[in-house]
Amino acid sequence: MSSGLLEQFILESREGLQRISEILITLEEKGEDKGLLNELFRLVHTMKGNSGLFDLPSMTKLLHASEDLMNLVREGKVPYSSEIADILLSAIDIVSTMLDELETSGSTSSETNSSAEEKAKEIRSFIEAKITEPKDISYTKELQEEVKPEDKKSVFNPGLIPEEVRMITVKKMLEGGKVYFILYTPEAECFYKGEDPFYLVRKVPFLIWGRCYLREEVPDPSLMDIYRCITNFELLSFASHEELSEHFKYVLDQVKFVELKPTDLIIPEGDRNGGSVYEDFVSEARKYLEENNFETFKNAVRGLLELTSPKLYYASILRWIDLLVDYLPKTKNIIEALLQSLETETPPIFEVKKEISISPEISIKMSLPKEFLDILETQRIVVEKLKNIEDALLKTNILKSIFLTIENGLTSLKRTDLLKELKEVAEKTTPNNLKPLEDWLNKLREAQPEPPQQPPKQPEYLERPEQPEQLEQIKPEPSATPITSRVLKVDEPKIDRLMNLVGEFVVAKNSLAYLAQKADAVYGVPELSKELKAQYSVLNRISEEMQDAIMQVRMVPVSTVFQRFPRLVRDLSKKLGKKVKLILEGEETEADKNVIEALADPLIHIIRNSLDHGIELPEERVAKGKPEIGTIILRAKQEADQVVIEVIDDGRGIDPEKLKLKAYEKGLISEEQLKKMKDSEALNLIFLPGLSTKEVASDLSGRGVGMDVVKTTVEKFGGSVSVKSTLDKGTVITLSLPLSMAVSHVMIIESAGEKFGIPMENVVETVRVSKKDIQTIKGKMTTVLRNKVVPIFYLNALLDIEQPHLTNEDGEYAVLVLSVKGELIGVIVDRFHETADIILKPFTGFLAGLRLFSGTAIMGDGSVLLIINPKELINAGRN
Amino acid sequence: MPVEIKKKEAKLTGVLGIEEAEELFNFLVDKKKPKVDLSEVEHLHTACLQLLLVFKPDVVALPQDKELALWFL
Repeated sequence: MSSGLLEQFILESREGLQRISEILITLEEKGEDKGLLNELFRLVHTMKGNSGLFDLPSMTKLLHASEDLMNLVREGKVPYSSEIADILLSAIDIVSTMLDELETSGSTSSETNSSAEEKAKEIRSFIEAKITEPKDISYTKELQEEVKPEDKKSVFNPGLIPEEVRMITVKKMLEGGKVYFILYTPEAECFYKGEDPFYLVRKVPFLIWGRCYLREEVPDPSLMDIYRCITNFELLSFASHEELSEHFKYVLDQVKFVELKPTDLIIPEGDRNGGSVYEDFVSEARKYLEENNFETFKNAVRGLLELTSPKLYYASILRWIDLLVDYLPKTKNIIEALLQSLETETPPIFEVKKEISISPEISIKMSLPKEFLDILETQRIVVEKLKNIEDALLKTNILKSIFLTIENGLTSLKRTDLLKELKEVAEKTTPNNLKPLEDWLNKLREAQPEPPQQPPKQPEYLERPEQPEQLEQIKPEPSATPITSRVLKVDEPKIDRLMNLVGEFVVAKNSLAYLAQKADAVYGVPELSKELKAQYSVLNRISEEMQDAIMQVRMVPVSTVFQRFPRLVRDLSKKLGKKVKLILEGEETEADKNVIEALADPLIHIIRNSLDHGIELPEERVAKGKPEIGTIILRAKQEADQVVIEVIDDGRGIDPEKLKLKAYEKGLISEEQLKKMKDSEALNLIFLPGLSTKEVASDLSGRGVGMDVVKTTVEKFGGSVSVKSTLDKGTVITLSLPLSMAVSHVMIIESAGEKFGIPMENVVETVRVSKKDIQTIKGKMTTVLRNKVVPIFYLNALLDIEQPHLTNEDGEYAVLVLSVKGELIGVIVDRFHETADIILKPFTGFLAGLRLFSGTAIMGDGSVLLIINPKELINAGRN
Repeated sequence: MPVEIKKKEAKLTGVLGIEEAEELFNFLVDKKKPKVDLSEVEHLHTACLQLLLVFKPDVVALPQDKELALWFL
């Protein structure tokens, strides 16, 4: 198997999984939605199909089970619930793990395989439970409700089962065994899938009896399509529902199971023209039954049997009574019904009226069950829409599927009369002439639904699954044909390479500006210099656009990070017993892929904290007079060249007093600080590493878990974090990160003849400070700037350069005022230069340990600029 | 050969796969009153079984496999 195919599979499956989990959560929030359910089913179905291309049996099994469950939900047989969402979500997690393993090692580990198998089993047994649950599934409901045995009868016709088989089966049931009647309707195309329904049927566990028959008429056998399956199977089995479901697991949608009661099979048969010598016997039998004189009763039955021709209807009744006598008293009611039948010469009536339908033709010719009429109605609508479709091939296919749908419906209704009509109509109808079909449908439409006391011959169980599928096939097709995907998937390294090249190009282009200068100053050719400058401006414009374009490519919406949170919030809030609503805002805000990825972990920390410590338990919230359901808002917006993410909760907030006290106890702040610290400052204490223990966090009823980690991560990417909180009202945590990290804006300064770059985001201002304005306090230099005491450092001293700084003519130092972590510091340099956009290359290898510099950049003249890391600079200053 | 044709009678032997369906079909279409001998059949694919259901040929001998034979009663 080519690895390209596998890569494609992994990529597509990941996307599929993401969409699946989104849908699952939307469904949970918004309730059942037919469109979403269908999409869900299709996604899983596609993934299952794709996984079949590779040797991943466990994954396929798991997806198959999930698909079945989704199918039941889609068909409305099982209502969507958060229980189902849980199951499916955990299945998705397993598949996702498998994909990860596939990507790294090319195969799945036996551990995940077995957990997948287990999950598949769990889903299967969940389906079992749901199917057998009386209220969840319409057709099992019919079985268990004694009131509607006709529905069951329409699924299976016991008269076709030989009496001796029925007798053995009834015996087994009376001994406590369960018996299932199975109707297997293999799909017409099954042969093309390598299926052999007959083989499957022969291998059914505990098979008692089976028969095969054609589900449709073959008018001219010589023209038949021998590869189209039209054979149905009816079976009786002693196996349990689980065993049967397991056996038919790959064709569950084509199989109906009906659990039988003894009375379903006790159907006397035979010639009814016998004498009426049975009256005496009946009264005697009743007497024996009354007296519990079973032995004598049995003998009487045997005696009469010997006198009766076995072909008679009454002999059949006697044979049944003979069998049932052995199981008295529980069969008493049945025997009484049979005796009654013997007396009245009518078929036995057990709990409910039950007639053997001899001639289906008796029913009013035009009356059709409502379900079927519904199908006709939908087909009629499809025909209506068909008129607007141009594509001839598509039209023909849709038309075919319409006829097939109606045909299936009629076949299951056993309406041969209408089937014949349909065939005639089908011959007359062409894609360009839909009139015959339309007329015929309109004619049928006028047929009234059957009156309720005469239930449909074949209830919805066959038609129902077909209807949504038909519609589904038709709807997406018209748009699907002409439009091909316009999205190109590219590996990230390729984009990175492109970006690096563009970066180098920008640098190379800058050299032109130097060359122009040189042409004039050194070689004295001002004309050439002018032309070079003109060329430079053209290249400059193009390079800027290129840079912009490549940035656009790397831009991804924050929704890629946000979309994992509904799941996280859902799972966590369930676990914690809290009620939380997550609102996502500004998901479309875009930022560089690296920035977005950098956001993921800090956000998880923050949201977790909000859930764990911020949002109160429902009771507590109610007691505080807040709405029971807590709200977390995750908002993204763009502010200048920053992407700002806010996490807002309406939880209990952070108590600054407690926080200060805790920090003091831990020795993180001094007593003086404890007294003087403002509340807003105190909140920032949560970012101190020492406070980030769980004990403190929960004790404080606030945050603290890993907040220092959040801060470090965000700062590593050049961003910042801030926190605002009001006690009992809630907390707002704001992260801001640069939109893009590819290009940095730096200010170039000079010191000791060397040029250095300092990130512009740290630069507050550049000032000139006279030597005399610098005071030394306890050996530290300071100056007063705008009424603030600012510490002053010599850059040369910080960089270990043993040279004094230069001053201008007025004896003033050049001071660069930087803001680092909210603190102002002044750094004395020799000279200020222009600002520049640079592509920062971090140090690698041996130089990676140079923390004072964040990296280098190549300048237009080919020189290397060292970029100072202001934070580390301050640390150096402190020491 | 799973399908052996002698005049109007086809003797089916062993396991008949879907590959045999066409041959069987041709036989059943060509002959006016086709007969089949199933005595040696171990299994036949649904497609072949379906042909027997459609054409209803005379079954001159049921499969020796009792379980299989039940399907043709």
